[in-house]
Amino acid sequence: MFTLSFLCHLALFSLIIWFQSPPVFNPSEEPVTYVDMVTLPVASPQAGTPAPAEEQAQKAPAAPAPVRPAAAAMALPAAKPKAKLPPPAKGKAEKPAPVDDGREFSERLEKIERLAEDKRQAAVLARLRKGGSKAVGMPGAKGTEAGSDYSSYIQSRLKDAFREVMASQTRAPQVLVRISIGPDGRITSYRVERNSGDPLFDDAVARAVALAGRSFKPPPGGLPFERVFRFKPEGVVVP
Amino acid sequence: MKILLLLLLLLLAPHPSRAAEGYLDVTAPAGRKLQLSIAPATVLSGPAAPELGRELADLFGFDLGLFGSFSVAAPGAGTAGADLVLKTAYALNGSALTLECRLFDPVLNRELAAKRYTGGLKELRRMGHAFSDEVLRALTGEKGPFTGKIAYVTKLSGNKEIFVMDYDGRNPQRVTHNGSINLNPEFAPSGREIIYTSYKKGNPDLYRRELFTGAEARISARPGLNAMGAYAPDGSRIALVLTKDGNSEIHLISKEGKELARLTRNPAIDVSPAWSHDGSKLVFVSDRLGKPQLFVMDADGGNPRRLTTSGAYNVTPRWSPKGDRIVYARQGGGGFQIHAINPDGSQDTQLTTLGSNEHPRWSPDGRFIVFSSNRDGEDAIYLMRADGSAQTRVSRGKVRDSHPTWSSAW
Repeated sequence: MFTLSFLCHLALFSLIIWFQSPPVFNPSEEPVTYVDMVTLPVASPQAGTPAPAEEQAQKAPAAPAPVRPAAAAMALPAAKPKAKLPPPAKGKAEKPAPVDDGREFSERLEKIERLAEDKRQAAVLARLRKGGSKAVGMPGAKGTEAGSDYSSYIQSRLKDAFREVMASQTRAPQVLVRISIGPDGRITSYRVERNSGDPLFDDAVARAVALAGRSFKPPPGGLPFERVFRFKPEGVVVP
Repeated sequence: MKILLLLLLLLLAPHPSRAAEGYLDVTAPAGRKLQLSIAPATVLSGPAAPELGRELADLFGFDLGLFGSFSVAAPGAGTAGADLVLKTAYALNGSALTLECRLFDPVLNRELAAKRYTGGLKELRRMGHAFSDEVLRALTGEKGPFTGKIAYVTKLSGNKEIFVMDYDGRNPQRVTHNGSINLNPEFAPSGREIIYTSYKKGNPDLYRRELFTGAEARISARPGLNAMGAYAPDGSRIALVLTKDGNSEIHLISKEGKELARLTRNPAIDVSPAWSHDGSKLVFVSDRLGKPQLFVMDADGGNPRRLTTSGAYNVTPRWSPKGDRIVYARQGGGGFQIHAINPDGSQDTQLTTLGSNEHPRWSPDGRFIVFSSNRDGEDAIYLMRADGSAQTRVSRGKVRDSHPTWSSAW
């Protein structure tokens, strides 16, 4: 009986102590990063022709370069306190005292990033050891050309050039152009399949192709490339 | 059976090369203008004349800026990033001038137009306008209207006299000097003759005058009004308004003045005839349904039909040189505003809003409209693009200028 009473009192006492002590703040939160999505031209269309899986396995740690939080360019929370620091007074050589909270936060963030990267690389290695994924142009791919998307690369380069030289005097002109590119990346043939009837627009298309063609990368696999492109003003619905 | 099945499968199977045949769209914002850079004028031989280069640069900037598809960079701004570069070089020998103008495409690395003009120094602006015309021809396939002249009625000497000036308002020259009232100048298709109505012999008669020789003939002196003459596109006939029969009717005469036909027979007032570009139709003003409205009829006077259905007072129509639009003035709100309408009566669009705007006439290429407006006080001559944009005053005097009309190239 005494034992039972003692246990009940002990339990009550423990509850009172537990309620009085505040919960410990758990700082292991996921860091918040902000990423701007920008559509960029395909920088290296040959990326779709990776080495065989075995070679990939050897080079694996460098292969899938994970998207780091873009260093200082990204709006990381850790960077904000620096921006808010008052400018140093003139004539004072010493640096402003570092903020301890920010350093701790950065260290934790780096630790988390290292852990995440290690996990990703381990996962990639595991996939490669299994024989690679079937997705073309991805790490461990078999090296077919289909994933290189050279057409999109050319389209993107043409679009950039077209923005530089666009001109028209009619409302909804459109031009169909067949462009052939040799294995060295040079335009071997430029044929207008259908002109717009607007000479200003037709000339603008010719300028855009000439301008873009100065810096085409060679098609993948050393093969010639040919495709028809339709040039038109932005937002115009053409039947 | 197996072979048939195999063939069917082959037919239905997607063809790899066909899948790659579809086209990819390449787009860019439509509002961009061609970047035209005017290079500083250089000297071919003889003394340097920097003011000559500056005047040419201003002229090209005005002409090509009015066109609307160019953004013209001033000389000295550099040619980097330009779509087109306009280069000029001159040689002065006393008052003799040789001018070379070239239009170059630095992207495609080709010369689009190159002309050499020789003449007197006073012809500098004419040479410049001529090359502006060539620039438009090189880029659009259709020559510009900048060497055309504008004939107009001015009260510079106190009376209503007819003058001719460059399209940009420079170089005004007197055509009539009779101290009377002179109205409604209209160019022949060649641009070298005008017809106009003058009261110089008491009655409003129609005269034809050669601008270069000054030779003149009174081609219609019928009793009453002989006015609002309009050359047919072939230049051989003139539609005009006569009141010899007591009522205002539209008649057809030869350019020598011989009466060919009476086109309207209506107790109402029929005035302001204007030819379609192919000479097959005429647009005119009639109050036969109560208020002045635009009507269209065949060139022989048949098949008249109403064109405008809105607006209580629509006058002074002119058919565009391409035949796709008819421009006219509509009364409303205490003044007139210029409208344009399709020949089938659709897409009636108001082009002006400021002041009172009257007497619209097309440029010979149909890209621009010249008109008179009192938006700045007295009536003055203005230009605008066919869509109503870039309204620009070209009258330089402070007297009243009105009734403009734009000739073809001289």
